[in-house]
Amino acid sequence: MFFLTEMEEDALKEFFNMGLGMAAASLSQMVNNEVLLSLPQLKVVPYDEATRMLVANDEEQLVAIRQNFSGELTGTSLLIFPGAESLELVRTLLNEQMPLEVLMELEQETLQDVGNVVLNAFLESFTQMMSIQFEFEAAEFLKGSGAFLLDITSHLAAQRLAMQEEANEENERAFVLMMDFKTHDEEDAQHTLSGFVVLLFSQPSMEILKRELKTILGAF
Amino acid sequence: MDNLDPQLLARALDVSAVGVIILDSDLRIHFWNDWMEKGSRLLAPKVLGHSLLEVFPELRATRITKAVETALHSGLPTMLSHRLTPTPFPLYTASEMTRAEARMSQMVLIKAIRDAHDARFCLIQIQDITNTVSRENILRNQANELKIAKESAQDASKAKSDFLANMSHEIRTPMNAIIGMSHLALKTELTPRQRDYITKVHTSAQSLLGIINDILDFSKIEAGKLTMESVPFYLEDVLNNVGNLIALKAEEQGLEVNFSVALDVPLNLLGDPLRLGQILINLTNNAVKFTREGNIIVRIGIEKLEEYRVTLHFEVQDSGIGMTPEQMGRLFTAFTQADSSTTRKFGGTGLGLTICKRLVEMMQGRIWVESSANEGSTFHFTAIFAIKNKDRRRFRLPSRDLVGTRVLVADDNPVAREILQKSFESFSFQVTCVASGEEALFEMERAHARHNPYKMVFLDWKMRELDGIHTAREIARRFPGCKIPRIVMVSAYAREDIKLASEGAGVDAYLTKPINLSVLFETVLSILHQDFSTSRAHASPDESGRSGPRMDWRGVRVLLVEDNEINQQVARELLEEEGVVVSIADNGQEAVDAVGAASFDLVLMDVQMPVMDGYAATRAIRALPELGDLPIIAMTANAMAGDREKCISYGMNDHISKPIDPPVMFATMARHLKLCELTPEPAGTEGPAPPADELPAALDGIDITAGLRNVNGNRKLYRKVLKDVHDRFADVIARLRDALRTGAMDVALRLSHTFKGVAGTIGAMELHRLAAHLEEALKENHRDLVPDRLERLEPEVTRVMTALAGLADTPRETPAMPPRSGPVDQERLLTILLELEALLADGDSDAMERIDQARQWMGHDMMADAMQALTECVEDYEFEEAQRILQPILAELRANRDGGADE
Repeated sequence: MFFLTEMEEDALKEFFNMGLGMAAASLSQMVNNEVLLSLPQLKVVPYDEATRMLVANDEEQLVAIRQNFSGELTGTSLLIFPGAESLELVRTLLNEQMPLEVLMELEQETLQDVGNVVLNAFLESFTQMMSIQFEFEAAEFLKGSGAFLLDITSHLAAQRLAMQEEANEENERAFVLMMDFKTHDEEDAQHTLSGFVVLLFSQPSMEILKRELKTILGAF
Repeated sequence: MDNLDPQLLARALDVSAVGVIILDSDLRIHFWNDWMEKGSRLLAPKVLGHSLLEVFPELRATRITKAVETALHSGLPTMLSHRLTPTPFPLYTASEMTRAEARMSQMVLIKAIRDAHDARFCLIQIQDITNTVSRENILRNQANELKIAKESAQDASKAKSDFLANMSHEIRTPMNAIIGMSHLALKTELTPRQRDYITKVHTSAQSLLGIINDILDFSKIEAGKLTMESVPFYLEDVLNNVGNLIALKAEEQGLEVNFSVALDVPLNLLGDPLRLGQILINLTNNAVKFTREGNIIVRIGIEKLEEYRVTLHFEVQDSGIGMTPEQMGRLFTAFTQADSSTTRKFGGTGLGLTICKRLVEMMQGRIWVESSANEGSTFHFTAIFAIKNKDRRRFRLPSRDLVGTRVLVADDNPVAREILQKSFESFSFQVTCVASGEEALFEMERAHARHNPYKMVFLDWKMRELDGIHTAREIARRFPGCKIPRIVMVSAYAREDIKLASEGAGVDAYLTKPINLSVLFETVLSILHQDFSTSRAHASPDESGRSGPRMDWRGVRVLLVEDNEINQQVARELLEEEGVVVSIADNGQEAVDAVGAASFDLVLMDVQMPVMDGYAATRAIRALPELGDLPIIAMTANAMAGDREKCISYGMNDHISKPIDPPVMFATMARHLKLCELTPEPAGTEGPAPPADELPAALDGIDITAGLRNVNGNRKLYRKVLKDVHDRFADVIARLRDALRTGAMDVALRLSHTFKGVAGTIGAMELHRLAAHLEEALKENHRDLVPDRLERLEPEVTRVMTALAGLADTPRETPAMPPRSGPVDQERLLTILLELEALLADGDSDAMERIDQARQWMGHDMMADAMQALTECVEDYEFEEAQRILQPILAELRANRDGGADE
């Protein structure tokens, strides 16, 4: 069932962590405060299991930043926060003195900016390690239940170009990554926030990914 | 789409609502739309073909440049938010403001795009979000102001609560002294005038306390801290309390209060009896306050009866000044009263009804009023209670013969008539009601003529024309001889007053309105000469602390920790009155030392004290391993919500609030101690011996009622005390004379002092007075006055001793208290005897009390001779001899204790 070997998984993790290190550095610069990003967990699971992992609570409103990509590799990357955590993240990052009850428009924008930096780090890992061509769409801000955020058809609609032929849910594969943000406020209190990064690939993209990983590992 | 004119596309981008720039891989500007021209105030021809960094040198090494490079290099898009982009494009909004103020807030999107030859270009899109930023700034400032306003409001509210808590403490401390001291003063001998003054001081202090409590309750309601209890209670107990509190006031105004409880109302309930009482007292108090004449009726009926709970409907109806609809509208609002002029006329805080409303709501009920000006008001409220026991109390007649007993009721108040009629019907009596004295006489004549006379007649005292007393006299005149029915006088006035007024009118019993059904039943049975004590079908609710059985407090050792001397005195005297052995500590540190040095059954702990406060002291005591379960009861003057919780969190067991309410204090203490009930043992359990509590109906020179009160109504104990007085003081005059003759003035003084106290205790008031005179003369060293005062004392001594002689016939029997034994008793005994030792060393005649206490704690065979010798020595003021006798007893006790500990 699992289709990445342990070695391939480790290699992938290594790439991601390098990307995250760079993302953390630019985030730290952006918010003028040290930000640490880490990936305590990485899992490759079928789509429906990814859904189960995220949709523990149907009622909860989640906030996500989404970036679609297409080309030789086709899929979607998502950075997902529980609603309240995203609010807290923005406020800690911005050292916000005067929090309001809801995520304001500019705060959404800020979150989108941060999410964009993080997702770019992942996507850049792919572009750097592989010799494949793909195009990226701009980051989008989404709000809704877990089921809505992971809804395949909404991604497919967004990627009308590349994926019509293989719209088979069973074949969808997802990387689910737990991601921790660590930062501290002006009183030096530590804040750790967790979010999920989900990378959804179409089945053919997954094959390409595996092939590319093999090539890279073979080179060592 | 392929055929679309490139010119058209460029035009579309030109007029687009966002800024659009297209750069090639060398950052050269290939496109610059109209929007950019306006925002940057640079026209396209001036920038096209130039590098972006040439046009905007300030962007070098900024996020924007980096994002452009990323897009061109790896194709990744970047979205730059306003907040995280410190250096945006130098663009300006179209406005009259200076350049700095007109700076445009932006959101920038940077993407890679490819041309037909697959060459990468960079697309920059800029959105003007200046309006959004300023809108959010306004919102944020407003939220900030709101937050500050809210915080300062909370601070103010906290300050108010703190102030109330502090003021409550400050006020309650002196209130404790006023209430406690007047309570104690009323137990001493007073002239009628002094009694009147002190009674009024006491009543006023109580009502002041009521006002303070109202204010506190209100502040608790505001803070949402008011809580409801759920305990079993008996509805009639609540009504009794209300009746007792209200009757006096009503009587002063010549009003009559009647309670009418529907017969199907369940009486054994679960809920908060104190809060229910508070509502009823408040409403009836108002009714009394606003009614000049007429009556006040409290009705209780069922609104809804379910299996486990009942919704009761209470009504308090008065015939007072009433209210207009406008006045009613404002009624339940805090600080308002029906009429601002009544504030001056009737006084009051205006909080009462607000509190009632909240309390009623907490009992899941509602409160409303019906009224019209000058016609009186009726306050209604409902409340839901769980039913503890569904059985209605039934009054079981001790004999079938009594069923159908004929009773005549004469009362001009239809409500009172109806209540009595229903009550009697519930006893299965046959009742006839009439509205006047004349009708009563006529009805009796008629019944007499038919040879079917009434057994009992209940007469209202205050009836128009022929009042109760005159009617009673007339009955006595018209029906002389054995046919006279029993006459019960019913009145809203104090018993003593009617008793006095109706002397010689042939009245058999007196009842006070509002009539309590149980009292009525017992009165009826007692005048019918029936034993009623076993026929009562109901038992008191299990946990009603206030009306619980009297406990035996004798010998209980309590450490009183209190810094205020007056409060020390109040608490000590209240406790000692019940026989508690009280030790005092002035602060927490002394308390910790004291519990380490001696053993106590319970600690009463003030909370605010110098040196070490009650919380710290409790913690220190709890830290001592062997004192983990010593009951510690906090005494706080704060009485704010949370006091109790705080005390308990510090390791105290319970909490009472000052001013000390003696029944509450004792009930609270009793919860944490194992005490014996101080009930006279039921007749028959003592075997063939004649009942030891047999007291003569009257004793010459002695007010038995007063004497009994001094021993808490314990008849056995009283009888023992009387006998002791006879045994010990029959020769008091001779001893005084001896002492005076030999010039031993101090002995005479001590003896007269002791004797005075003893006389007061047994209720020999005249004796007490005369002995006090003698003592005064001795104390002031008025030797000339002494012989005369002794002379005057003598006949009274003879009179009282003669009366007591009859009691002393029976041989000196075993102590009235059952002897106790066991290790705990030994420990107590030792404590008492050590105190005795100290008193003897001081030559203090209070030593006698310790000897009596000690006797209660030892078996009667135990060292009986030694104790008897001790008693005699102390009586003869031979303290040194007494000390010598005591030493071996102490030694033996210590040896026992130490030996016991070794086991």
